[in-house]
Amino acid sequence: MRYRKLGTTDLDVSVICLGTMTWGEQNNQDDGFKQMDYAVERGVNFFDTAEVYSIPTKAETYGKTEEIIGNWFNQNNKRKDIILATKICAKSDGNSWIREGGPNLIFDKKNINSAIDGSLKRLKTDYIDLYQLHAPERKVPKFGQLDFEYDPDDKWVDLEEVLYCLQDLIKQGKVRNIGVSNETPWGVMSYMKIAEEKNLPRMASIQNVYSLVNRIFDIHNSEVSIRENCGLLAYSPLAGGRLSGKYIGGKNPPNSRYTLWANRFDRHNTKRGENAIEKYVNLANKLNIPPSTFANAFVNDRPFVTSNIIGATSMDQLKENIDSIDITLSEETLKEIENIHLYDPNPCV
Amino acid sequence: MKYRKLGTTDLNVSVICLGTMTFGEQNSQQEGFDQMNYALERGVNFFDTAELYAVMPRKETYGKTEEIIGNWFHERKNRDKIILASKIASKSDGLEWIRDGAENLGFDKKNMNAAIDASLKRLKTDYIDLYQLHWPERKVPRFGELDYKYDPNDNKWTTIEEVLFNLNELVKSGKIRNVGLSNETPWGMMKFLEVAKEKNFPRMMSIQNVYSLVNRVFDIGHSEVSKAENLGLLAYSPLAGGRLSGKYIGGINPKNARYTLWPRRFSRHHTERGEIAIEKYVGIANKYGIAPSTFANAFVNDRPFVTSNIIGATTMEQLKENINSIDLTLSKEILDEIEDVHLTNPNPCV
Repeated sequence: MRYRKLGTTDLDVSVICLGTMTWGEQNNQDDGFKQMDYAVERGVNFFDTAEVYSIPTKAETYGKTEEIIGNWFNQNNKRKDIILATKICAKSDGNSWIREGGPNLIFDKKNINSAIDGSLKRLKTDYIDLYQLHAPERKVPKFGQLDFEYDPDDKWVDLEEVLYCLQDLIKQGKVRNIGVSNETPWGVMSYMKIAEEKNLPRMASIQNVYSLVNRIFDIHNSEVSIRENCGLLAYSPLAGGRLSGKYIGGKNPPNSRYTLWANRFDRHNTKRGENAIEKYVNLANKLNIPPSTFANAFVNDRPFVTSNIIGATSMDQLKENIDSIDITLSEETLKEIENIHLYDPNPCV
Repeated sequence: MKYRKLGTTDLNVSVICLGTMTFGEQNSQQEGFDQMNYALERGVNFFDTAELYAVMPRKETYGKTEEIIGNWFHERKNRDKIILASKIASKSDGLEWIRDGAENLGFDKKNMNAAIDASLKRLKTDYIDLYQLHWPERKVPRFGELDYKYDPNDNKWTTIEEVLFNLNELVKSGKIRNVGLSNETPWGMMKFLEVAKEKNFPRMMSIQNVYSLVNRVFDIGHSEVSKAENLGLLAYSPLAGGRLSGKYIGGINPKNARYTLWPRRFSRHHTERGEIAIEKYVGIANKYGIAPSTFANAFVNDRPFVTSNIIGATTMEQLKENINSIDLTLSKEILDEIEDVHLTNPNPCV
């Protein structure tokens, strides 16, 4: 395994972070335990979860993933070995089962205090290493949207107030570091500016989507990330599994995400995307690298990436994903990737 | 004509800004005069130029465009009727003929003082309303590049604080009134604003970046910064180098047109994916009986983050069509059709 500093903290996180959102839905607790055991054996010390998991979100499985992780900590006394990241759910149209529901999930004191206590209890721990805002409260391009669309009526809790609430959690010892997720350049820069001006906690990382078929982060976020030392925790590095090639030719493997929920996660399932995915999978095959290992290796070594959040529903997948840490793509391969990318950039936004 | 405030200044600039880079190369001085006269008649009060124009940049035509504008001010005695924007050239691989050339260009005191004095002299004026940094000194995605590429060795650029200090000196001397960015990134926009606020230096009032139906990269990361910080877009290449007029469709090479004269230059606007999109946009314009160039400009004029749309023309007919866009508001139905074309093939001409 390789390790990198998380922002300006002194934490060394593994470049492979274990994603957990399938546990409690596509995977049961026992599967989750096996994944955690195996990942730790391979040197992974960084787990990412969220109060809203498992996925797809519903009332019956809210908090289930955190519970499974908490049960694992309780059983094997490994809390101290893991750098644990979770997220507070943001405002949305759905999620009516969380606190006062969807539109009321703003980042005010009440929500933040209640969310952290719920997460700590489920996770059976008294602190979170990295507490992330799952998405901005304000309207920004969400899953599947490319462009920012200005809405003059949009309102949100002042970013300074959000940072004060998070600082309170740090003072209480419940949270050690904070991060953003699904954020824009304006958001990251504004948080940084306010933190510096008012001596409030600094965002240590940004968790955004990033894969061969969605490299929007390269356009504008990457400069912010590098210059402000706020590294990317990349999610969906396989575009919901599609970059493994298992769906090529219209196949629907049993228990796979797009077989179970054909109309969900459609950001990764596009006509343009399928063309690109076939090209990337062919390139991996030519190099004799499993396509998923190949796609993860690309993400691992981007200069702005702190850690790559992989996910798996089987132990084979998990192994292939973690194996990517030992692969360095050659200059020649990276050029071939660039050619595919530039021919039709970011087909799976 | 419609007018909008330039950033937080009290200047009301026309939503159509007259681009000038063809004056001195594709257009003669007389043609430039005719264009300026006509634009002014139509209510345009905002001209944009740059020290390095005319385009294509070369030694023989360096400063030529500013000279033509200066001669027009002198002849017509109407400097006071125009909000005048110019730009200082930045570090580059070429441009050996500007000051100490290429790698030595930048926003240090020496370059800046020399650049402004020469621009003022050519423009025959003692002030510039909006003085813009033509492109960042640091490596950012340039013409034709989509992604930011990190280069750990790129650390020789003048600090933002020093650039703003130098610009502040020019403001204090009365040579310039406001400052602006061009070809900037969201990081650059935020940083310039932050340092200006901290140190009480001049605030950037606008960002001049490429924007058209076929290059809407500004929509992704810049537009939020632009709205939230009141740093409006001065959109350039609204017709993607003329291609959105439809005149090149089917491989036609019209006489005196840019891609006929220089087939391999401006290739950012000339791509396989771009031609497909352009044909679709021209098709929508034709369906609604709107001139394609008027249609494409109307789209840019009304984007919520646009302060002004920098049009350019080599003929009076083109100029008229471009300015006519100010009277056209695209319907919700048309905007939806545009969005469909955009989303099936976004930003083909980066």
